Amino acid sequence: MPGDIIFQAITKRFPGVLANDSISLTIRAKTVHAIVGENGAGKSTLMNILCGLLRPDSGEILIDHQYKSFNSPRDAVKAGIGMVHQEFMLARDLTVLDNLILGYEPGSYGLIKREEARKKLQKLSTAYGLSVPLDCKIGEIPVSFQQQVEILKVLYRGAEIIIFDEPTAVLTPQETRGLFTAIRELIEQNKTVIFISHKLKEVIAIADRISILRNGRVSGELPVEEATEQKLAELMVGRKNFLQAVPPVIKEERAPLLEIVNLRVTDQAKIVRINDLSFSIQAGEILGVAGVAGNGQSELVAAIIGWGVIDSGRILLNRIDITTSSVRQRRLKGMRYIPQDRSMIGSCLSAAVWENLIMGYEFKAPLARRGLLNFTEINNFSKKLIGRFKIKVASQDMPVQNLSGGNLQKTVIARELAENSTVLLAEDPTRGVDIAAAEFIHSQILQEAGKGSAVLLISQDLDELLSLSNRIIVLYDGRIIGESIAGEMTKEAIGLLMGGRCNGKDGVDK
Amino acid sequence: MIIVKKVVKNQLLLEFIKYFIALFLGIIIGAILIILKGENPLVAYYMLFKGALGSRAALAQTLRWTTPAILTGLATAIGFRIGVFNLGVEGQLYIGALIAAIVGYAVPFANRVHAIVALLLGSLAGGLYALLPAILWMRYRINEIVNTLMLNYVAYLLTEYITRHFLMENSVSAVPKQIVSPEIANSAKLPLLMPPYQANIGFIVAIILALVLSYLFFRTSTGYTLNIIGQNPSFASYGGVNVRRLGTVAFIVSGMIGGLTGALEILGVHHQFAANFSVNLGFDGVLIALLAKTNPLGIIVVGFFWGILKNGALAMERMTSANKIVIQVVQALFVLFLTVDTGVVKQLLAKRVAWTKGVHKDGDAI
Repeated sequence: MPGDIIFQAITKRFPGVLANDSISLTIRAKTVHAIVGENGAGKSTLMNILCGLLRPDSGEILIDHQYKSFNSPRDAVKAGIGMVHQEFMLARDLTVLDNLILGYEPGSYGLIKREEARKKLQKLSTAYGLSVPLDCKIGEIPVSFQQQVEILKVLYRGAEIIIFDEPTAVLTPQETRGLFTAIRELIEQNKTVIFISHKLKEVIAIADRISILRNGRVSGELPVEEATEQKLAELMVGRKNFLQAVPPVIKEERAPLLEIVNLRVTDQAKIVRINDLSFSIQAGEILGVAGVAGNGQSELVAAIIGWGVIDSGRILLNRIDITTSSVRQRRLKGMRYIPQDRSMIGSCLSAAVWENLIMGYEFKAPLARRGLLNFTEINNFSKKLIGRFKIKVASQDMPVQNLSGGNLQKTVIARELAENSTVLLAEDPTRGVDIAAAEFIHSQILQEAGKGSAVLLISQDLDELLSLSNRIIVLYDGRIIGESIAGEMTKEAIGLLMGGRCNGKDGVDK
Repeated sequence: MIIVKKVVKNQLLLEFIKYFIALFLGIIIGAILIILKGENPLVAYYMLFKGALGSRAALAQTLRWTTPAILTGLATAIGFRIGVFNLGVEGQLYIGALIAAIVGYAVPFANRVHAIVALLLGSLAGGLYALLPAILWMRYRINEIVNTLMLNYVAYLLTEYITRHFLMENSVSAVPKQIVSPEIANSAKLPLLMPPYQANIGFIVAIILALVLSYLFFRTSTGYTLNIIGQNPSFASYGGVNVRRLGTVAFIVSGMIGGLTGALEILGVHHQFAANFSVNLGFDGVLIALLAKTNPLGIIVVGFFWGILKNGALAMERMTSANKIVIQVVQALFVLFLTVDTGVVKQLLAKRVAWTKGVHKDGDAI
């Protein structure tokens, strides 16, 4: 068919990794073709080759039966390829209009004809049923609208083939439905969509055909009619058994280990981030926190671990007031934290594995005596953790920046769970890690709760929250907008709450 | 350099080759400058090494210059290691020198305790002078590069002012070289290593300090923490380290070593405070710390090399018509060529960015 994209034996090698191993793939024009695979399966590499960011070591790309060779992203744009990136490539302080035309400004002699662009953009957005406020600043509009801006941007640049890279990672279920409507509209208008994801439900909901990548190779391809989640998952990880995580059952009332009482936090711009928040977690309980990012989660975490400045309220750890305690004092009382940003906060990338593992234990026995490091003990300590948490490392002296996402996260978790914890804060503990590692991490969190720790699980992944938590609270605008015990709340209900209950009324005029 | 990287697999050898190439290029360009002056570069370089190592006197003088090179290198390295840029070692050195001189002549002591008290007070004064930029940076986020550099001028001029108006015996001369304090008492003078030459016990102090810091950096919990802060302060803070307090302490210790350097210069060599006596000793420390990649043992080696070049350059200038500035060019080029490839500067700048992003984003106090 005209407009088909054909990958012919694409191979791309990075130092030590064969990212794409002779991938051959045909994407039919005017369809939604999903590419699924675990992290590190080679999806991003393949797409980066298609949009001109990387050059393949060997292999060819044909579009419309013509060989294409892209030396830069601009070449790819010229060939009608546009990508909606996972991390939006937008300037927050510029208006939507300026973001849309950036790099492709109409006009001459250095002058920009904004009105011309505005007309063209208005025509485009009506044609595709998108609605973006052209004169708002990007920083002022919600994430789902920013994504629409990204879509409009690639359309404005004349894209015929549109790549969506994990587009639903930042969206609520309602917003996801909106995105799918937009994607179907694109197909109606004869565009071709490539949909990258590892969320199997969504892939089945939107795709016409699905290709599965594993370890840089195509491990399967099937039309959506034949696809089931189980089948796709098998093709992705290459084995059949999955442990279904089950939250621990709590029979009797136990002592609360973490109590938050009337917490209030305002940020530097005097905006209230946490508003009169109270909850408690008892021993052995996992409390899930749902909510769209930016509704007070990071401020809550900062307050609990002792990083942020709070206005008022109290935090109690095992009935002891720790509101004014330092991070170290809290850690000594058994508080542990798996941060969202595992590479910048949770680890020191340029430091060795052992250096990452001993942080927080480096000043006390057995690792140190009278301020002096005991390298024999340190060696044993890190060896034990590497074994217990099945971290794949060549040597404990290698810097952790060479570890894969899953192994890096295991290093973080190994350190945090090296000793029994009283309270464990876990923030998106499995984001971006492969299924096998995610499974392992989930089992570790459940085990920690089983040992009597109080776990606060903050996650953007509703499936994760639903399968691990005893209780779920939904944060909206710094308050608890909904609360429910395990099994009593559906994903849809949580999604509605995450959007502030009233769907559609999110503060932006349509 | 990339070709070298592909051929040579051994890390240590690779490092050695990098240093060699950088130095070699510096020497070649130095040679061209010497030829332009109409001299034979081989003769000039021979004179340099002979003048630095060729006799007991030459060696003593080389050790005399090695001492401040090691010390200012250490002072700067402490800051660099943790990601704090103390470019004010020169100023801290002046303050320490002035205080040591005052204690040296004005406070009556009969024995060696005099020298020790003067050294300690000089060192303390340097530390206090570093406390100011430390607080400005850690607490009020006022860029430490700018404020340490500016405070250097304050130190030059303040010490000159104090000397001229309060210390000078006959306040008539306006020539800076002659703005001097009275000479210190004999009890405050440091014992010489190889009398009658200027090398003194300060050299031993520098070596011991380097060994102590090396032990601290590589063997203790604090050293581990400093090292991690230098790479990622956010991570250290997450692990419970009070990053700003350690940053402040490191800044002060850096200033104390700066002050100690000044005090040793006065008590060991000059025996009186003179306005503008230090010819960029503090800034040499920056280059030395960079060359040694903040490793204290490396600083001993680089400091000795610095001493050879500094002392040898003077000999070369005496014996040939080549100017000693040529050697300063060679030194600077050495650092430049080395940093082109190893990314030392890039790493250091990354450390600063990490401070600005990580340490200063939240509100926790020192």
